[in-house]
Amino acid sequence: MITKKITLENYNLHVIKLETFKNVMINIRFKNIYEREMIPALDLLSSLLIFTNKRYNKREDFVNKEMDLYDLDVNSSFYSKGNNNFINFSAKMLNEKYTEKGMFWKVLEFLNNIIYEPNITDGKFDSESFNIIKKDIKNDIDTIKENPANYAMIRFYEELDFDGSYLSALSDEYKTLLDGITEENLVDTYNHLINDFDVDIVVIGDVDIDLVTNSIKRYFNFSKRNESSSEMIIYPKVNKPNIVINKEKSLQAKLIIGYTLDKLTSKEYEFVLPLFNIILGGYSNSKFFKNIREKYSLCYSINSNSIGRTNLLIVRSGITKSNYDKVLSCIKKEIKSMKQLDKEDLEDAKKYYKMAINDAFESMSDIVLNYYNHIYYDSHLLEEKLEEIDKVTLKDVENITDKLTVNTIYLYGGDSK
Amino acid sequence: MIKEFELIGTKVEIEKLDNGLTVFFIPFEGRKKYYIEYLTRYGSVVNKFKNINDKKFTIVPFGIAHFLEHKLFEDEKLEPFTFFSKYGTDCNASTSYEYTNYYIKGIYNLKECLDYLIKSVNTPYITDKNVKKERDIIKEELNMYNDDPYTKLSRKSLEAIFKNHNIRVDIGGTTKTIQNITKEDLLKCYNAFYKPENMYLFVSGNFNKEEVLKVLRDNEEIISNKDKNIVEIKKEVEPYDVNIKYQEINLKGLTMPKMLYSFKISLAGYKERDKYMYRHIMKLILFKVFGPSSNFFVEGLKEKRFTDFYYSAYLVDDFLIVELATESDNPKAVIPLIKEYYDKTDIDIIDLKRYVKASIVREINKFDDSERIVDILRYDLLSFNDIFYDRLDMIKNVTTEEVTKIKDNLDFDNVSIIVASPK
Repeated sequence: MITKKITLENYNLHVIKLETFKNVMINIRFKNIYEREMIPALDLLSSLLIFTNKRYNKREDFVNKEMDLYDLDVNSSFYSKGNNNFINFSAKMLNEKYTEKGMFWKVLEFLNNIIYEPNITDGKFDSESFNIIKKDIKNDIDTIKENPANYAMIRFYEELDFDGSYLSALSDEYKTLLDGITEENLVDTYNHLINDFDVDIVVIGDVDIDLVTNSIKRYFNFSKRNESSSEMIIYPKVNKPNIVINKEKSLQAKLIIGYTLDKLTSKEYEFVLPLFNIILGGYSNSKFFKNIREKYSLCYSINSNSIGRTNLLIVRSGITKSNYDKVLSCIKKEIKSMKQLDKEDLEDAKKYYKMAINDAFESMSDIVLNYYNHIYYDSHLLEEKLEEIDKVTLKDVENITDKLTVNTIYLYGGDSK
Repeated sequence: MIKEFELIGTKVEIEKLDNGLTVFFIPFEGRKKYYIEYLTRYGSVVNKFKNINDKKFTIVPFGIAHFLEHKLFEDEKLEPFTFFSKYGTDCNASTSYEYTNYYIKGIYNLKECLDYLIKSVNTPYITDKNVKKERDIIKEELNMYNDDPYTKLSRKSLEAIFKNHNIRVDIGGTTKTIQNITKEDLLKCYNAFYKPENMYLFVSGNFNKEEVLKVLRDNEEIISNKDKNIVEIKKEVEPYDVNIKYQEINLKGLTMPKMLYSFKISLAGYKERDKYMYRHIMKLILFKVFGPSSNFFVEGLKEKRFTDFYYSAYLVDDFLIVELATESDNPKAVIPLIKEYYDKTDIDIIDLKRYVKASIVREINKFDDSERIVDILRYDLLSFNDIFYDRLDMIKNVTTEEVTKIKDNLDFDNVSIIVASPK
């Protein structure tokens, strides 16, 4: 794998050349500081820009064009991470050596239309497209409760919020902000995206680096680069956990426990914490799986994860509500046992971690994700991770236990037989 | 025997062992990981069977195939998950209507991991105590699915489409049926269906073929030491007609009304290759009539008739089920539009060429992934008892006449419609 960073005017291009895949993927990621009130508008914009545009102003024409480009797979997403908002556009195409010469240029031209030729006339977005996307988002919000696990997660974050920065999709405020978006004021959001966000483009596949560089230069340019900061969100340590129990008629209760981690170093975040999570609840040989599920039969699913760019560790499980106290007690016991691990626990976790990293080499999306983390947060590339993980000691992992404090316990549902 | 997928170039080497096990080798150059799947052609729909010489059929509770899947990853001495973790190998298993599979993926110690997988699946450790323990875990799993309104709706739909077929029953059974499952039931089913002639082994990615064959030879005794009796599965005859044509239900957990509109198409008497192409062509028709670039979809969104619309086409024995699904404030109003748009939408040569282009790309992409290629082989074998190595050629050669013929023959009288509202 060869990677090269090319600094262009007000944006960066990163080319990852590797011959493993038949596809080429182009990612255009926009990054800015977190702006809470902008969330509904940015989310709407990200979907609208790949629905229609000026050149393909009918949905059917847009879709047919994707198919004509050999089933080009175009996606967009909006998300918040740490103190940043992101919009990502990606296009996955079959390498033109399997289709026809010039297809890469045609795909770039299509992406150029998406970014620079939105469906705006007379200072407003096309109403038909706008209304369809807006309704779709409203529908997504109205049906959140149909997925109990997702609903519980959003409610958990509402309870966890300590400084009012979290904007819940379930809140009245979100609905008000969404209702307030019009075809006209969304144009301001679009201009904000194009003019104020930092852009990093990543192209991955069996490509010629110089050809890619010249092609990207031809189709993309941006007006400035702010180098917005990328900070973590640090949840405060609390003296007494916030315990919230929401009743709901369902067979299974969703239990979510949020822990804060106190003063971890960057090495601990990047290498020690993943191993801690693997041992505790990250795979089928974890303490949670072996004991809480297999030994005591208290659940089917239970896992622990840390949340990127925060100091949070989260334990999630689906349980029978009447076992709530028992499960809590077991979780506490397993976490306590993390203070005295066997050498084998760590060696097994490291092997699992390395297998997961090697698995990532076979996924374009995983390679790109890792690369963006490297760009924004200076985290290690996949190959480097394989080496660094071996430096983590048993003591490093055990020490994490003392840095954990329960912040919030949330239990949702499980109130019918 | 080496076979090659034409126009894609992917090679598959097939070895049928003397004990009856068929092994598929799919090497990938430049990859680090191996992916191995060990599969039995025994899924949740089987609940009535007998050995060829028995007079009566044995009837077992529903949910056994799934229960067995849980149990075979259990060992008296060393838990499979603990074993595989020594080598950083990921392992898991799953049950479907038609099969149960056990898979491992890793980069280290293929020999040791494969050896353990073979031993684990071929030497069941099932006791009254561990059956009782597993019951509670499975109960939690079933509760998780039963809280999901989409799972419940899908179940209702299958019950409405099929009158007798066991696909009506959830893969995991019910909390009631699993209560009745005993150690003896599990062993009875295990002995009937976990035999080499009923099983496949898929080895994909980075591996040494000779190493794999040696592991299988070393385990020859436990693989082949199985009940040699031929098993006959009793399948209820499924009529052509759908079970329930129309129903309105209230579903707990829904927040927005949904509608499922399903066609039941009989492909009895069709050759396997023709069934494969029938499904492919039907998906083309569905894309043109109901897909994201169709008038139905675009006007539907514009007029706020629905917020989304999905379709799928899947095979159940000799039936092709075509399922249309929508989420809408007024799903009943969508029902008559389905036939209206179906009738007035034509498919011309441009549509066909465009769809063929996209289909070929999608097929090629599947072959880029060492796990997805196993999905392809598995699907072909279980659905058609064959693997179509010339699939791209088949797709390329579809004619507008074939498309028109299939389109015109769709029977709108044999549909099952469910309108589900929030409770």
